[in-house]
Amino acid sequence: MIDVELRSVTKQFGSVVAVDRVSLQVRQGEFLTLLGPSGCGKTTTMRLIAGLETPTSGEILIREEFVTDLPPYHRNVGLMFQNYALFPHKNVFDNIAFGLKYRKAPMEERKQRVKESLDLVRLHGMESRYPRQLSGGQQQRIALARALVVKPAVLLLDEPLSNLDLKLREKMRVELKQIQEQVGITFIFVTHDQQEALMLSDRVAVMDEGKIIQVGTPREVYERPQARFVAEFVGQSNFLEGHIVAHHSNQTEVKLESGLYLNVPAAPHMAEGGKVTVQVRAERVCIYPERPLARGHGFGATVERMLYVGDTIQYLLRLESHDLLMATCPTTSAPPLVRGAAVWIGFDAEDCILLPGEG
Amino acid sequence: MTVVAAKPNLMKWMRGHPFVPGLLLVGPTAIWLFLFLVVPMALVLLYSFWTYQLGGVMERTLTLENYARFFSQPLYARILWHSISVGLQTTVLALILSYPTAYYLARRPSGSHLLIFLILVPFWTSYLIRIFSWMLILMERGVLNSVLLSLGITQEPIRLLFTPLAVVIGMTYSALPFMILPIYSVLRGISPDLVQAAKTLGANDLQAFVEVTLPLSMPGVMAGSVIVFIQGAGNFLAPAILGGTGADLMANVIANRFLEAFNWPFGSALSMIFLVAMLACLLLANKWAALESIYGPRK
Repeated sequence: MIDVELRSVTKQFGSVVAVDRVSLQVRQGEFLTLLGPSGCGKTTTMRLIAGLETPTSGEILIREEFVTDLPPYHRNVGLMFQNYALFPHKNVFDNIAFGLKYRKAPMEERKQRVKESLDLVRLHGMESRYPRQLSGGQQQRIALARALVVKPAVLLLDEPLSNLDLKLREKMRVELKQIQEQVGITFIFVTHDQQEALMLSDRVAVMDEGKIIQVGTPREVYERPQARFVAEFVGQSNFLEGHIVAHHSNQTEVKLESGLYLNVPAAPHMAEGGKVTVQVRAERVCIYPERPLARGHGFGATVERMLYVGDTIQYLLRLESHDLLMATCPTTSAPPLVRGAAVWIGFDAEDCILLPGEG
Repeated sequence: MTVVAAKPNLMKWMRGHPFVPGLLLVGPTAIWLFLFLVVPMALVLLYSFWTYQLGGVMERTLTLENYARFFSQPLYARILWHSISVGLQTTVLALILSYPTAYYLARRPSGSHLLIFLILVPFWTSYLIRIFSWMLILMERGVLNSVLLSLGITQEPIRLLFTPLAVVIGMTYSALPFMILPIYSVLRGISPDLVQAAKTLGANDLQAFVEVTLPLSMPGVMAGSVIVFIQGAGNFLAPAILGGTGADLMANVIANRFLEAFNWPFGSALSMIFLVAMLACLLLANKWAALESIYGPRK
């Protein structure tokens, strides 16, 4: 069953197109993330689903019912705000029971369900506290409980983890995923944090300039990006411009602008001579003291810069062809190098992803 | 470099005297208020216990007679009650007129600087002139009656000027900015997310307003109401000019005791009684509205 469906939804603010012909289906119980940089239209898309904005054109369906022209209070959606938006003048009980009150639940049921939802977010017995008496993490759990207690068809979450410090954020990620699996409610999660998106989601929709560029499982989005934007936004990669020289039986040969030749996985659908971009993920580039015979590609390089990240070290390497490559190595296996050191780098044809060229 | 060299000594001295900055900030105001508010009030309090002698002479014999006079003559209690009642009417009327305006200004996405400026424009002329201009509007052959007559809404001019209603109308007019601005500023501070959260949880526009916006705007409503009530109940000019003979408020009566009857002790006693009555009103309002508890008990 499809819980949420967008049919070519467009939202314009004056001359600005915030959301551009977005179509999307979200299955029941799915954890879908709208991922993109700020201003990409992800929050507007979420607000359109909630009914806080009305689309300029297109249709929105929730559980196979047209809701395009319904106000938020007649759609069965929950929304968790980035700043939590707890009512400061109401205690925890009244905050959580707010939605139940307008669904005309009797007092006994309200008490029972508030208690259950507090147990769900592990804040048992906090009913009489006021928001300002709670920590940021606690406020967030209350906001989650308030949105979930009414059992919405879909819960929309607007960057809910971005106001928390790193440790708490990592903890809440796990907890959020657990709670989602436990209650089985469809989540549409909005974030600019690619790591968060990959970790939590069943599917990720990458957005840019109001459009959905690619929808897929985290693995698909990471390993088989369909556009330069997706490849660039998710993870750290090298992008090398060139054109297709020839198609061989199981590989395609690319000549880079710097003159280097690369073999990449066969892409017979792309025209010979056509401009392409070769993507090589930084963590796929390995550093060797001498020429790596076992790898598909081996190039001599000079270390230009090293960045110590903790669990990894990032190297900026200048090839003899003057191409600049980034390599990320786990700290434990990273060779002790100094700036200016001469090394070899290696990667395989399978580590290269062929993307349509720019312009 | 020489200036920089002198600083460490000053900084060091300040470190040993942490109360100095506060003293410098508050000191001038405190001295001013002490000389021109506390001392005169103390004198008024003192005079209110002295004895009035015919011809305006005050005798330094302590007496409770001035206070006794207030409580023995129902006229004064009636005027006190009338003052409070006019203050309340002005407050309620100004509130009803101001809240929607403040709400509109606060919700305008494009900013409201020009409109706020327009609200403040009347302050550029003197209060006295503005009250006088209300005479022209309210009098028997004035603007209002001309309009009503020519539109056929009334058959003969309504008597408005020199009635208590005229006083309330004039005072409400001048109270509007004092009511609009605090409510506007509090409404501006309420996050639109809160209202939207209420709506996604099932409250319609009116319910979201009643549940969220209205209670959270109460600090602004109270601030505006207190200012307007005090200005209204203690007003001198509006009742003197628009109210005619029967509409005197406490301020007019007190001024009359001092300036015409030369009875300073009784005037002082009336001032003190009025002060206590106003403080009692504020205390009552504070208890009733319990502003502190809007956001729950302190941490």
